[in-house]
Amino acid sequence: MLRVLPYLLVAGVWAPRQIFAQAALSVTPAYAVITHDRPYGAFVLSNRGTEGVEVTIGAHHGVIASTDSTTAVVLGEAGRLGDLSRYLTFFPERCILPAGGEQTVRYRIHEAPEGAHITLLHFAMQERGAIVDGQIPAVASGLRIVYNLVAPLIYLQGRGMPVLSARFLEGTPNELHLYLENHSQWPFLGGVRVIQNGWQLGGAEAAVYTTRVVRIPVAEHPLRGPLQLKFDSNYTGLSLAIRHQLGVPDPIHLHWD
Amino acid sequence: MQQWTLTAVLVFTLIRAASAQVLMEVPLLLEFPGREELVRAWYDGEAFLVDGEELFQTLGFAVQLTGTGLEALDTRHRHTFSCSNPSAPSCRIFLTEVLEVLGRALHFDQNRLHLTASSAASTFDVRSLRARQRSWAEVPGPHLFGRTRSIWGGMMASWQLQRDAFGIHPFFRFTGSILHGSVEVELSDGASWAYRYDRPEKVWLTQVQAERNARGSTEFAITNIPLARQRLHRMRHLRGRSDPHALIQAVIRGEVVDQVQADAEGYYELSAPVWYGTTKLEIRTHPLGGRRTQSDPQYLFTPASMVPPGKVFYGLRIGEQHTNLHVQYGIHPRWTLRSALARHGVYPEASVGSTWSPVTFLAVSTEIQLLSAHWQTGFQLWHSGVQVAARLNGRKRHFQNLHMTASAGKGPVSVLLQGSRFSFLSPFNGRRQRLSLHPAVRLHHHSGLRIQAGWELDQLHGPFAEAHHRWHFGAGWMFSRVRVMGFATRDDIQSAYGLEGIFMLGHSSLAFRAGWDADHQMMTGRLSFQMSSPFGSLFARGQRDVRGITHSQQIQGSVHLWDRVQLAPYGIQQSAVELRIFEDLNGNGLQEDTEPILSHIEAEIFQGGWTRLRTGALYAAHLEPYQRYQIRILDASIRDPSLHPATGPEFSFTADPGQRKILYVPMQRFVPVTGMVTRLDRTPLRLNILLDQEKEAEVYRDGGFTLHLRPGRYTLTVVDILDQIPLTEKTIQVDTRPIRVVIHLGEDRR
Repeated sequence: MLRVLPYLLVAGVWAPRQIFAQAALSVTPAYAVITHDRPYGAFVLSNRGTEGVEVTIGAHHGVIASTDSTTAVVLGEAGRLGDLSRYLTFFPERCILPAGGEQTVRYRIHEAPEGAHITLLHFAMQERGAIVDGQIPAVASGLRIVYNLVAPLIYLQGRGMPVLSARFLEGTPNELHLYLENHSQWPFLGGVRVIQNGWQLGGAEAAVYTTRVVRIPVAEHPLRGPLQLKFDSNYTGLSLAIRHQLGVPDPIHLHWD
Repeated sequence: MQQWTLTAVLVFTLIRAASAQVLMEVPLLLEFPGREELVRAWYDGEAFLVDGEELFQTLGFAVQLTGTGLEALDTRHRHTFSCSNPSAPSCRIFLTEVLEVLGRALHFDQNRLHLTASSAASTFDVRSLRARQRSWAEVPGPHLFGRTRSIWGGMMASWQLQRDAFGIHPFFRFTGSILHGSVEVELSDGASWAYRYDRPEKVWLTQVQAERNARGSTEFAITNIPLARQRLHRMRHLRGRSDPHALIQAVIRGEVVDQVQADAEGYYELSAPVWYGTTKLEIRTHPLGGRRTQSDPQYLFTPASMVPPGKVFYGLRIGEQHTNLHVQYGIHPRWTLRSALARHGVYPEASVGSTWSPVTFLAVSTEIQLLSAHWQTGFQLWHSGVQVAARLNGRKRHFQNLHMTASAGKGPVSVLLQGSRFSFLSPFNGRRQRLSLHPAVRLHHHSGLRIQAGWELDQLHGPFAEAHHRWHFGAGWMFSRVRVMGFATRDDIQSAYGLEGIFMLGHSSLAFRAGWDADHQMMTGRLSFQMSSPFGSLFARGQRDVRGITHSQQIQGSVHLWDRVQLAPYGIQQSAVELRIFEDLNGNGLQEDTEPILSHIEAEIFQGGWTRLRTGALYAAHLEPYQRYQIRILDASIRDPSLHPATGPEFSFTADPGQRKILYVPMQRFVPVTGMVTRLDRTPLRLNILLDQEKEAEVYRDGGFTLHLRPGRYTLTVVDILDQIPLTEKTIQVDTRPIRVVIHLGEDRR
């Protein structure tokens, strides 16, 4: 059963670039895919705001997934992807970042079984605030807003190919909304191209762990008839070795009504 | 009876007074990594005694008094001393005993009453000192430590053979250590030798030198100028005002050299070391509440010609042809007087001069030769990345020569302007003047794009005016092991266009320069190959240079003889550092055979670059001798999250001239300690957790805190940072497993 985190004020942003919270905390990279050859890495937290912040870091089994209408962080399950948080150690678990400060969060995976595993690294941030002489503790600890950032960490043990199914949700003159579902234990990270009669109508990058709605900008509306979805491994920030290890799903044939 | 008793008491008192030690209290200045402190000491006319408890506590030991003696303990050491007089109120121990036990880790300068602790010491825990002080670590350098002169050793032979249009020129050079001094012999067209004996710890005679130059003239020289002129010139005290209770840090080259918390009205006072040359001092203000840090850079300029106030430096050189004596005296921190007496053949000369630094970034020097009426003056200015230096000289009222250099840099871009104006007497054309201007601009990234451009104008004025223009331009790309640049240049000999580059492969490198000389319609270039033997004791380099219509070939190399074999390029007393980052499995801070070097861990060296050795250690060569370098372990390259550098992520060292310094960085596993302060009666943001009385962690908004510690017993103290009052203490025992601590503010209050 999907359990959506209702208290996340800022859900994880699944974009292959830096992500920012309102208080200007950034996490670099926005996601990480590692393999058994290099089962370690680091995220860098930067506080570019004007206030110091406290950051609490946690790792939860979960994915970023879509229903027909929403895309959100889902905790507690990740389809057929394994739970990486069991095999993960990281440092530190809490830190204080002064304005302009940086902190490296190092992680390492220990002996995970065959397959792909995922965890969401959760960065909960709250502003530290100014010290006011005479302020009572209840005020200091009671008035607080917690900002949350989520960065997926995926670990690949072995080699595999994702198996996808797809259906169209809706189409606008400029965009096609595509619902992709992953039936394998390997995530898909790559490009999706919509092709009709040999012409490419549009394309977009997507990360599909379980389910994902992908909005594909198109230059022209498709004609009624058969369409083909082709996949590739071009995903911003993904290394060549990882692309090779993940493989590319077979094309999918759909019909546009 | 009463008279007899009184007499007996008097006699007893006199005997006791006569047999008691007559001690004069002489406080010693203890300089250890990060700061200086005074330690109580006494002198009985023959030997020095020191307050053992005070000294060893300052050096980071836990001290236990055992009645007749003292035990100094830390996690790795246990030193035992006996008190010289057990009935005295403090345990006084002989300084010679301390020096015997701590060895080279502690240097005692009896004349200056200085005790200097090495930050590379193995007999006490330097890292714990660093952790406690959160400050810079000064390795005193070879002028105090590590200069291992020997009766016979450290020999290196270098050779060079050059062939050009004028014939074959052999060159041979031999350096080594003989009779605890350094010797240098060169054989080329003539023979020359020099022998130097250093006495770095002395005040009035620091170096004795005897030499014979290639012209056959023998000279003898002595001086008391400190061997390392970069030594601390003075401490500067800075006062200022900021936000109340703000943390103020004095930072030099990224290192925090002092920090204080401003008082309730915002006033603070800092001390910062001022070195010879330019010291860029950054005052960082961290207001409470985590607001953005403010930074205020300041430049403290102390020219090398400045002598510390009250000190006299002299140099005396006696030779067959030339003799001179020069004396410098620091009359004020900003004013140094100089005088010199010289004899050139049969001609005597005397001069006086001074160096004055009216503001921190400006220095003006003048010198007048009394008999010949020659004068010269110069000034140096350095402010906000802009440096200007000018020298001019003349005779009586006539100005003769001017030389000026100005440079400015920001980030990877630097601009340079050199100019000079010379007046000289030509044998055929009478008095002529020569004007040179040389502007240049450079773009240098550590890697990536690199651009150089320069233009040179050389004009001769007089009866037959001449003008020469030269220019060069280069642009290319730099990778870590490959550098390729295209170039175009024009000078008096040739106009050439082509490509130059360097390829580095392991310990070998290939450098080339190939171009087309448009004036002579021929290829021009240079090819140089450098290699070293796998044993590191043999080094050779071959080069062929074609320029214009001339060409030359050159081969050179060096070999180390006997022990302490080091690889050093020809003609350079190479200073290098080797960084061995290893996994300290048993946590003793020393590298054992079973503790491997972690070759994946990267480090940054300030103003330098690394090469990875086959052993996995990092190696940086061509360092500036006596220069302090900052090293930062790159956190992201440490694969195991539970490993942490025991030295801290940043530390510094001083480069030894002509030596490879080996630095060990133990990577140790720290145990996480998570805690919670409960029953709060004030906002948790006001609280800090002190670990054994040193600041360690801030408290989070929910009262939580985290620490990462080595196994051991610690005392945690909760302190209010506003009024600096310790609120509660709790002792914890850390073993190999993570622990959780709860501290109740209402309980265990002092």
